[in-house]
Amino acid sequence: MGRGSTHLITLIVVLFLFTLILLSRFVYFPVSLSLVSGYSMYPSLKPGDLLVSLHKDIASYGLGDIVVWCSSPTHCTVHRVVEFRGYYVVTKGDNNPSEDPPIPESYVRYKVVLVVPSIAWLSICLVFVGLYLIREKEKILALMKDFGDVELIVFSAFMVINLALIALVPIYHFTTETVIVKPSISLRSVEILDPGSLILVRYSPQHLNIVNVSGCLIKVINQLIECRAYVLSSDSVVVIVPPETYVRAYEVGVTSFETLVNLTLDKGFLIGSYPLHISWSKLRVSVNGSSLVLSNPNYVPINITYAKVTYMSYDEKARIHKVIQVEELQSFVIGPKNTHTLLVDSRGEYAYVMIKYVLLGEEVVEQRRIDFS
Amino acid sequence: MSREELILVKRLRKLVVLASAYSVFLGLFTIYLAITPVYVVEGVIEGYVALTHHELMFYGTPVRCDSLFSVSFLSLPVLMLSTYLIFAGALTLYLFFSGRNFNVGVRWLFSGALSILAFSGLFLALIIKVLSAVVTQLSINLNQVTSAGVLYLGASKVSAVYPAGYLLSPLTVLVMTQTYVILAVATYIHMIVVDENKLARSSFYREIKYRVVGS
Repeated sequence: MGRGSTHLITLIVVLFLFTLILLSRFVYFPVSLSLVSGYSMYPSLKPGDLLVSLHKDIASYGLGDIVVWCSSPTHCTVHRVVEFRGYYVVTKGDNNPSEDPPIPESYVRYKVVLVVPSIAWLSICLVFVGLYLIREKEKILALMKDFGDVELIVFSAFMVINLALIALVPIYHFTTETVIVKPSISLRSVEILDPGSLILVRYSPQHLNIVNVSGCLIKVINQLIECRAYVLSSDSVVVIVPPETYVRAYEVGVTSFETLVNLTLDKGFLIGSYPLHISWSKLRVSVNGSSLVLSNPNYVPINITYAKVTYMSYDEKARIHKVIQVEELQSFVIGPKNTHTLLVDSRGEYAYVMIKYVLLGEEVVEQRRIDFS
Repeated sequence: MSREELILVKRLRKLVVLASAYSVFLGLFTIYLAITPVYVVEGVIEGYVALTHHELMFYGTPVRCDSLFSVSFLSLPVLMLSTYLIFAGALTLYLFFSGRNFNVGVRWLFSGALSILAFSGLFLALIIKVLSAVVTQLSINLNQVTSAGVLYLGASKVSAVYPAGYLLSPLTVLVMTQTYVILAVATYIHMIVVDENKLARSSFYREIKYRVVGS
């Protein structure tokens, strides 16, 4: 092969490469070359790596493949396919915390088939250019003499550099959502722990931590009651409910109150307001053997204002019930969520126990019969 | 030398100094604008963005912004051309003040003007456009209302930094580069005219000498 043929082949190869570089992002072309800029695909791709890609019509792509997608000739992105959603494709940079917004399938142009590390292609290029310059020194000098103009040489050099960079370096799409994970926190549950002195608030924090509780208030109607709270674990807070909370709610007869918590987070703060429901119920009264068991389901103490035990016997001959004795008991208080057992002496055959208390301003009377036999 | 020629030479000398000095200034100034922060981001995202580099942190974690890396890559020719302008200007000034023939320097200046005219002004404008488009995305607000309550995480604010943030606009770039182009082209034209006059004069004298000797 003569020198002329070699030059012709070299020229054709160089022109072909330039065509690849220049045209692939602008028009349909089977092969594309592009340079990686940025660290979104690190460590798979590093800045400066040269990518050889085939058009999607030639090389079909699937999940896990690295593709080049462009929304405009200047704006292209090289990321990995992570999901297909109908006619949309979801890509993600390996080093990015989040996925890119879904893109229409038509945006995807090339599948990356070969990654040439920057050190490799730069070394090869430098060696080739160096060898070429040394070998063709005379011709190049003659050519420069022919040109005669420094203007043309400088201008051409800058044009080539500019065009090559514009063609090789795509401008990546940028949205903060793909590179920044926004911290957030959501509420998992709020519950009053028995006997009502504690409220457990559980959160689902994402990329943030609860540092401390900087403020705690309980709001009953329009009254604010100060409370104490502390961080129980990385995702939960315990509020110590002052007893007057329920007393106040009971007094005004409301069935809910609000807990206002101000949390200091490592990345900011949270003002939470959690309404809690409370129900006021009558005492649960049951007979257990010769005892009367009184359970207070409420978060306030219930004052038994009046208690009376009527001991009874049954005269079988006369077929009548007789009152043996009536015993009035001292008033007593059943604590919140507490149980009180009233022991009744076995006098006679049975007894009636009557209690009276006031619930939400209304007097409640309960009576039970206890059989001794 | 005729009076017109003398004026032309004087004007050329002035233009050479002006164009060279401006070339050095434009090169230095462009490099300065390229390496100094154009935008400063404050708040949840903190850092700065310059044409050639950037440093952005989000709660202590670096923000990887590939678009800004692209801008850095694309700024490379701008830096190269700026360096070229500095050298071309400095060389011309050296040739001028050392009393040597400064024609080569003027041609170098003209080459820079051609490159700027053809590409770099537009190129720089593109970079600035991309940069400002990216930077607007850095202005975020993380405050939100969730089921847990009102979450105050703050926001980030992007502000242009003096001088780069204010001077690095397409209009400023266009004005500055076009000024250079006008100066360099004017110098080049003057140089050619002066050279042609010299050539014409020398050939005229040669012709006279030939005729005198010949007769």
